[in-house]
Amino acid sequence: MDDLLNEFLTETAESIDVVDVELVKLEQDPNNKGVLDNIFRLVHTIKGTCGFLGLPRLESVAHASENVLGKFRDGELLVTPEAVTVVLESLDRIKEILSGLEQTETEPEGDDGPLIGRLDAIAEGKGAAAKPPSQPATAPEIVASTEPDASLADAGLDPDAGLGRPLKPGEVALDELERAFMEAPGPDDEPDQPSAPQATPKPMAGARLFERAGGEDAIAVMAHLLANRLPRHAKIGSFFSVIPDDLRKAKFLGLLTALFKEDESSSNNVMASIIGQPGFGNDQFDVLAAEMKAVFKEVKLAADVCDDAVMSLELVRDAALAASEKHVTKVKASAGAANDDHDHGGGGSVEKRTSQSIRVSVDLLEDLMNMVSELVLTRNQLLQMVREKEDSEFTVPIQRLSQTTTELQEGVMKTRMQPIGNAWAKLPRIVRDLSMDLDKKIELDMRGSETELDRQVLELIKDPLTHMVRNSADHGIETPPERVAMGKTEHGTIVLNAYHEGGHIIIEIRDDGRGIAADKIRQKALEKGLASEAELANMSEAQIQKFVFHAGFSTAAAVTSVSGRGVGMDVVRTNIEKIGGTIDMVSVEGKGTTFQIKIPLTLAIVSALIVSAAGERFAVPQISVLELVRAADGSDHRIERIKNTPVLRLRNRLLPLVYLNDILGFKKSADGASDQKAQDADKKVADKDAPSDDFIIVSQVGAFTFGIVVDQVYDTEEIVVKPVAPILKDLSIYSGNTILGDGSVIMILDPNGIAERTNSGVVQESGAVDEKAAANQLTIKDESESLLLFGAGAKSRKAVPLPLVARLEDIEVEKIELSDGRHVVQYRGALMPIVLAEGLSGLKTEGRQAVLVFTDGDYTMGLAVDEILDIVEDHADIKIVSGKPGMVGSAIIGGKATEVIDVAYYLSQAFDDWLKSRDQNSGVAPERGTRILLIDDSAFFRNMLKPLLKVAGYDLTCVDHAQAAIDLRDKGEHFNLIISDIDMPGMDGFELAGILKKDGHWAHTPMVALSSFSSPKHLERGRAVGFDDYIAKFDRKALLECLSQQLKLQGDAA
Amino acid sequence: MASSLGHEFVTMRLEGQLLGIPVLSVQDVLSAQKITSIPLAPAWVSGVLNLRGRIVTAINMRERMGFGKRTDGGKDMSIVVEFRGEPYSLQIDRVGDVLNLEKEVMEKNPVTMDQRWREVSRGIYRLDGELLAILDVETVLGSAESSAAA
Repeated sequence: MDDLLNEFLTETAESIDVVDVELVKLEQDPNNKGVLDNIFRLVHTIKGTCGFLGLPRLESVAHASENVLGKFRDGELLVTPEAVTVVLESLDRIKEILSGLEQTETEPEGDDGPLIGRLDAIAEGKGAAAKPPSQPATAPEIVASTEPDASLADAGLDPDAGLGRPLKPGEVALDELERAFMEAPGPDDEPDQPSAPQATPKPMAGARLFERAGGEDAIAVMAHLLANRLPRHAKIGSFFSVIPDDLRKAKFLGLLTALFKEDESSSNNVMASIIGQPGFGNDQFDVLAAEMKAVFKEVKLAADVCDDAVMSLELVRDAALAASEKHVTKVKASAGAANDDHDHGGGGSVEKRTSQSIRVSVDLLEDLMNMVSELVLTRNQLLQMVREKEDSEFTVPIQRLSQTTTELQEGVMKTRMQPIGNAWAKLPRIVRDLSMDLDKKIELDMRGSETELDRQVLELIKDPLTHMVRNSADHGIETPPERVAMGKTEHGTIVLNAYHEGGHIIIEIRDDGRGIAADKIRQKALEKGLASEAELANMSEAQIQKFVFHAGFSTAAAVTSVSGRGVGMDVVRTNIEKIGGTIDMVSVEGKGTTFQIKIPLTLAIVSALIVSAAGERFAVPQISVLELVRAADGSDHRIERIKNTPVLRLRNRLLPLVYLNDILGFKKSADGASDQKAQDADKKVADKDAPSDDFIIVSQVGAFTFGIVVDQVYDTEEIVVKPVAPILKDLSIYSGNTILGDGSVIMILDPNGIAERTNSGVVQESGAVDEKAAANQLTIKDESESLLLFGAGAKSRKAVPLPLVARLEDIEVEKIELSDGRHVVQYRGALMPIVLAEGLSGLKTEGRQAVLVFTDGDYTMGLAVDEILDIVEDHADIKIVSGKPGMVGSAIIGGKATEVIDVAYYLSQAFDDWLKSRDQNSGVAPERGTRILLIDDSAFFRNMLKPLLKVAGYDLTCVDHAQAAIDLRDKGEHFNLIISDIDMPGMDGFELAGILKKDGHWAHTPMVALSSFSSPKHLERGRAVGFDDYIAKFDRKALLECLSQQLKLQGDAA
Repeated sequence: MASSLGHEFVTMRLEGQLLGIPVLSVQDVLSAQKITSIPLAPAWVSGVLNLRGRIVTAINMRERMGFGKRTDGGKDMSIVVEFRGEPYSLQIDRVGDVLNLEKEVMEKNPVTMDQRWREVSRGIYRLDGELLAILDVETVLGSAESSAAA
């Protein structure tokens, strides 16, 4: 495409966007001259350039709307919403034509007659006094007035000298551009190019001060000089340096324009807004006046013009002083002034942005960014090499290179930063149109529009933002009567607020409308089958409202053309999550809704955690990592399972876990010896004592928090995100790939993709899990234990202490074989007997059989059950002792009667040698409060005996090593009987008995030895050191008999 | 000269079969590279590799062309081509000579040829003693892309 045309297109598109916004502003504040001038100038420029490039259609439309604007400007027409609507329409037409131009390089066909007719009608309709034809007379006069032109030419070159320093490139561009702006259209101006600012046809004798001074161009030059010079002034600089550059220039432009136009009220206003600080007195004003006069002279204003200008400056003296005064007395007023500044600055800063910068193609910036990325990578590589060598001569230069690279990187990153206001530019127009259409009164309050973020991110959030604001306007804000009825103001307000917070940008969209009705959402969620009634009943209002983000939640069948609120919110969420952001919402019915979006500053270079799974390394962006948890046996955190679902107890919640190995499809099966990791994972649950650990990356996607279990966590590294090849774009679990410092390529994981892959429906469930976890937490009291609940047989709920369960398995029924009349399954290279739980009539005939695996030492057995229900924390307080075999008794667990099973019984069923049956069933009930101390290093055994002895009525205390028992004795604890294991690490049972029997107040306490070593030799030795009895482990009945016997003996003796 | 370049082909071997691609579309020829595999990626994607700071997606041509796993124990070589602005590396058994086939005539694919081959082969050259199938890089990667999308 023609460069010139290209340039024109970009520039015009930008101008149109500005005009869009400005017009809406104008509609609200018809008397704001600054805004009007700005609009007029932009439209005029468009028109002029069109003529120059030979684009008749564009030109005629622009001309017609310029006419209307001209009338506004001259006060011949009132700024009415109707008129503004038509002008906006003409802008839309211009945009249309522009897009046509962009595609085909020629103006598209079309008839603008009706539109132009309407514009003309508006121009004519009320402003009969000033007819366009009256202008030709004045226009040539301006073009012909050579004197100001000469002064302008001088002035244009002067600033360099005047400033006494080399101008920055942008500053030169300003003057050049402004001149080009005004001059380029000049020769092409049609005779009736009427309403160029200087040609304001106020009937006036002779040229006004404004024209005499050289018109807009000369004034722009003067304003530029003043704005640049004043902040550096020794005496009064501080008053001006606080105002940002762009704003200051715009203000001075306004001030001078007003002064030269002898518009006293405007000058007063602008002056007051310029002096934004206390302490500006008469002296300071004199200095200012002198400075201005110097500038006037410098641009070669005629002496009389100069005098007049200074005169009019005098008129604003009071305003300036008063403004300063106000700041002394009332600091709070600054808020108002700031607002004021904002209004004035809006147009000015936009104008400045276009003129104080150079246009660089995005491609070039992207290339730069890529090259810097490469540089960063190479730097990282070098650093790594140098780190490996000590005392290298390269160390220092590479340090320096590193630093420069970092700075360069930051610099280039900055070039990609754009104020978020760019994404908002269209919003005022949209809100305005919507409020017209819907007959609502809506104010759009945009704050922090200067907050910068990466242009790539900016592009991506533009649409979601627009959508959300539209939603707020359409469905959030009520109609004026409704609002009044609710006791609110007629005007609804939508506040957009953007700010930085720790490497992120927070964008809030807040409206004071009706909020989201949880009831309706609840109903909808129910209709759509997103949640059951029971689930919904347990949810808080906030959780229900969050259904609007749910993928299946679309109220497309609802009201208006834009349909119900919530339409496309899932799309919004997806888009925001795509760029690594999060979205949250708070809504109070009747009060309004606030959305909060959190997005990363940039996508290009991120800090990432390098992890590994199955020997492969992957990067996880830091932003996705909430925390890192190391789960090891014996540490505070360990991985538990609910029916094969791994979970982690993390503080007050249950965290669902996914294994990265699984997600990535690395095989993980019980029989797959090839996969070490999988076995490790299983073993971990099996052998509580195995020293192994997992790293869990806690990540959040939407409201869904989950843990990703990885094998290893290495380091964090700054990585340059590169997109994956298009042929891999469907792999949602990767957000890109990158090259590490060592030159290897690794894939970057996307937690969103992982969450999606794990369970698409989980996002909304997390809340429910939360509450459940919290509820569980509440019931946990000191002595509670983890119990696994399962079902076996009709209607009965059964429980077993969780620590006794080694694993939960789902075994395919086909794999269960019959051998020697009993069920066995090949399990990890051995045969595992399967015993049916009491009440279970038989194994399943097909599919998978749920099995609880119990292990102790070499013994492993499976208990077939119907289903695994839950894991709860509760007291295993046996209320009714059971006489049935295999049952310890019944307890209330989780509010329901539950049978606690006797694992020892089932172990004896599985292994004959493990527990010999005995017929005797004597067992005398002990006296209440009989205290027994159990010393055993095996957790399994302690857990097995605990319910058993409890049921038998004993008060049991457990310790896991001999020394602990001695400590208890030394503390003065008293027990009626001591049961001790023999084979223990450290001090064994024999030694312990020797110590306890030797002296101390436990010397006469009966001691019972429990051991798997039941040879006569051991028995003898046991008795020799003082054990009163010796019982084989796992012989439950023998133990109980022995206990009552020993206690009886003791009682008799006493 | 330009026209003769259009007749020059880089040849390569895949399970003994001679294949060629236009020399102009070849950006690089690499010996065995360290390739990072991509879990869950289609089988014909071997992984990604680092070519002087660019990330190149490696295409397992054996898989793509329907050959089995390599059995001779040799190391794959890479031919780097660009497709829609992205670099791809074709993993092949061995790279052969560059042939100038200006005088020879490219013949159409025999209709009986395997469907998969017919799609990606532009035509066949009769050389002394063997046949050279000319690969259409666009289709090799293009249809791969569409099948990934499907």
